[in-house]
Amino acid sequence: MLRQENLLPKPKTRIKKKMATIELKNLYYSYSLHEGDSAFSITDLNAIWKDRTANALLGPSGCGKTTILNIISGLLQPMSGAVLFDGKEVNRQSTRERQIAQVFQFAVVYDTMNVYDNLAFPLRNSGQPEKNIKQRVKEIAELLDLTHLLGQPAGKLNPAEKQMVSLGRGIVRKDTATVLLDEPLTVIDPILKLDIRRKLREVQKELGITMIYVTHDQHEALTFADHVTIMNKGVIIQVGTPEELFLNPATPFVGFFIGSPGMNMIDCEVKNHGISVNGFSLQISEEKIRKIEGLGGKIQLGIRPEFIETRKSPGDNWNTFELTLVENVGAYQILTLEANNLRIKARVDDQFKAREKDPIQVHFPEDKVRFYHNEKLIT
Amino acid sequence: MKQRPWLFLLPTLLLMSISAFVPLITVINYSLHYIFAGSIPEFVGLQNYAEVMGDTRFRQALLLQLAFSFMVLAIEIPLGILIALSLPRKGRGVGLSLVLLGIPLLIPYNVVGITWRLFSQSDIGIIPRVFSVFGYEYNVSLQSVDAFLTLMLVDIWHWTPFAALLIYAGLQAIPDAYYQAAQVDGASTWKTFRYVTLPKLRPVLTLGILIRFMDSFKIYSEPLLLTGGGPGNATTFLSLFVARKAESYELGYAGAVSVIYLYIVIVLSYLFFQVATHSAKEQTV
Amino acid sequence: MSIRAEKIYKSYEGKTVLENLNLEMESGSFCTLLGPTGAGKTTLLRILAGIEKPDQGTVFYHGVDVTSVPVQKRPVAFVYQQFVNYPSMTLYENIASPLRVSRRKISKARIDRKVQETAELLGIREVLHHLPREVSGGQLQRCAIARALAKEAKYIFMDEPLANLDYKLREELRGQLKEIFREHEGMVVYATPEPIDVLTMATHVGFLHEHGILQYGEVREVYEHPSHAEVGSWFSYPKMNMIPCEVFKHNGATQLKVTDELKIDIDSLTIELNRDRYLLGIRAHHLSVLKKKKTMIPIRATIELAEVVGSDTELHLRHENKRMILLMQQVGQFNVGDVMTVYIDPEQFYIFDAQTGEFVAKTENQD
Repeated sequence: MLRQENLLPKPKTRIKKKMATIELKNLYYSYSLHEGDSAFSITDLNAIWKDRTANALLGPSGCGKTTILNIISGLLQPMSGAVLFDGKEVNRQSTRERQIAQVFQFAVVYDTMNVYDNLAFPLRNSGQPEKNIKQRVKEIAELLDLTHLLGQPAGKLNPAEKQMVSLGRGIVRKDTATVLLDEPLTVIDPILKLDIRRKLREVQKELGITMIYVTHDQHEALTFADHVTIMNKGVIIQVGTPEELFLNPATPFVGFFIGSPGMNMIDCEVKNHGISVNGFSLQISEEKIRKIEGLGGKIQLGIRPEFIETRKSPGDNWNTFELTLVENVGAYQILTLEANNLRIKARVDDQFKAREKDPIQVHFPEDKVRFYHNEKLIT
Repeated sequence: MKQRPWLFLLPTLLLMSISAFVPLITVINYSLHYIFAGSIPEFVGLQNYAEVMGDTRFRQALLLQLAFSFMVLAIEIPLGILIALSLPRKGRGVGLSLVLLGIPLLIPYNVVGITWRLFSQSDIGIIPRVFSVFGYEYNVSLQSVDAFLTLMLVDIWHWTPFAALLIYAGLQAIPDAYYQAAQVDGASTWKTFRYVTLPKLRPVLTLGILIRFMDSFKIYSEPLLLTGGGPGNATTFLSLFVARKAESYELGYAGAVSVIYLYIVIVLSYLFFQVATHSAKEQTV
Repeated sequence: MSIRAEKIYKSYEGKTVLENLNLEMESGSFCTLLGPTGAGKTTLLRILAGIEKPDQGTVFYHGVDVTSVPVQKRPVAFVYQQFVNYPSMTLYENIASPLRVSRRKISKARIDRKVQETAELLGIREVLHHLPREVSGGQLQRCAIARALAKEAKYIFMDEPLANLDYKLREELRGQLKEIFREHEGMVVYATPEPIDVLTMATHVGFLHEHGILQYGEVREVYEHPSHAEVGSWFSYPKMNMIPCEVFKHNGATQLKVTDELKIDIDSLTIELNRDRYLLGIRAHHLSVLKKKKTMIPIRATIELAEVVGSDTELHLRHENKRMILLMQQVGQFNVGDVMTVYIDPEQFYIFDAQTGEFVAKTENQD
């Protein structure tokens, strides 16, 4: 029923087409010295978010992601550069004109009104007839599981419900093309986070709205989004699907940031047509050696704890490490392995039996090893 | 050790007992006696209270006081809101505006009284001059309305900055996100004010209203210096009423009025406390 | 250095928080108090530390009744959730502060050594001379922990100290804290709602539920033998699947039936099941997309959501009208709405009483 509603043309108001490919071009922004202690600035940033997609903007606290979000919404003005919606520059347009709804870290509701009035508020402000409003509010309330709360004063809801009302107010207007979410689950009880995450995904798919979800939590980002943009210190480092980011991180930072625990990064060098790592040598194919050989600068080897192979019996191309720490999480275990001043983490299943101080044999499968030159992925 | 906090309070308690408790007990004592100059005080129980309650002059003073407080509040609070809304939130103007706004608050009460008396003097004052331009014969010592309104004006001039600063602080505490959401929702300026600003200012407004009410209820120096309570009893507010009675050595009577006065203020404080903590509870997340 | 709490009662404004709570923790352990938000963890922690007094009940440190001893007089340190630091002092001075006000006179040289040591341990040596507002949240929290360690308190209490930190920082600190406290001689009591904190760092865990401790014991023990469905469900990462089932008699054999596809034989169980309904608990990683063992039971389920969690995928499935989570240890692509066959290991079920929630039996091979 919801889908049919979306196809019916609205008779009186001019229908603004719900398209929102958002683009940032040559964006510059710098923080004054008073704002916090991060003194970097955003320089010549370019990014694009396609229409009707679920996106995440991921990065550690203070990396600039909230700033980017605020520039997209219009809350902040860039020092120079263009914000484009469907190719049109919107720098001068207000948030509303950009057809954006925003969900903040803390729920923004009108305490003095009940839930129904909260949801109806934007529609009433644009002069819609009550009959239409009633229907639309009911639709949205149903989509967000708020139907049973419609008569309640908004101030009395719990944070999760309030956030849904916040979101509801954003999407109740049919011309909302984009929803920006700034760490929306921050104040929500951990038990309810999953349900809300699921709801957000549902809403995105159901209404086909472009969503950009800002967070420092990779779990949230990778679950919600089809496309993830990773940022650090004001720079966009990589854009891709969760799988891409996981398998082929563009820099050691991405490797570290995605995955739990992050990718192991080991300094290495090319020696005698092989890779030498702190006293160990690693056999890899000629093809790969050619790509790395001859490059000056810093060479690093990256391998995810999930892909490291471990066993008790020694063998060719297997190296001996000492097990210094076991973290058993139930479904799997994280082993901290040390040898020759090298410290790596490996992931094994719950059946793996080993005690601290045991020697463990370790192998790095070649197809899972990634090489980085001066912090950039080369192969 | 639970006793330690009390040790820290001891100096204050000592001071309070000297400056507050002792006079209080003295006054209560007076209120229970019939005292006339030179005579030996005669214990009369609650007779003074009965006399006070029946006295039309007392009731007149009380009503005058209540009318004054209410009217002054009805102007100061909305005016304070308007001023607070028009002050700059960020940047260089902030410091300057706040200082300018605060100046009336720093002037001692009696200086305020005398200054405004000069303003309202029939011969040299600026107020009569301004009024005469409009053809009105302003006379603060002869016309009750003029006197009352002048005092209102003084109080408003003196204390609106307080309301404005308090509300300004309250406004600063409202996160931008709410205004942005209201903008996105297409709310008009009035609607934004009504649904975002006003509800969020509620605790601050409650505080402001109750403090100002209690304060204005005790107004003394300004009417004393400006009108002396006149013309007649037109501006004899409750505090002046008590003072007059005490000056004419009707200490028993004055004592009774004082105690009643104190009682009213205590009741109001209690109400304030209840309302303030109740709204504080409602303000969780 | 043990702690014992006896018959603790505490309520706030008419609402009972703790009721007849009893707990005994041994020396040298890293004890955790696990429970959802609002279960009373913070209250209990504060009562144990001496910051608050219980309405009724006694707290013993090493056999001595300390209930009425104020916290300043106890050998304790407390780390808060909100990185509490003195804002006008450098991190160095913050860490040194408990040593400087200590009743025993400690020489400046010793204080300096202690501060440097603990700062080194927590990895904040380079920023010791900075003020709190100049450093990050993670460093502030590490400073708070260093301060607790420097004090050499016999009992260290921590109230969700990692809660306000970035995801990645939490990961890092968890491993670090485990190592740091391995050497620690005293007792650590750590409150958290996250089972993963408990699983990675702790030696013992106490589960708070309905105003009391539902189960207390060594982490591995409680993990593998939960006494109650609440414990089983909550103390699992991800949450344990709880599936209602019925007792079903078929061809002389007794089974627990969830749906026609999902039935398990229970004749081999040594325990009598005398109710008609039970709750079956099974952990998410004992469901699989591949048939790893011959005994695994295939069921058809619809995919409701695929959640990427670090390096794993949590598949939210619906089998008829029962919801389950399957943990897949890889990052995969799945389409919501697809129907697929998944396999359940029948030897990994926990059986709980459907009404009381109490543990009844496990289905693992009884030989």
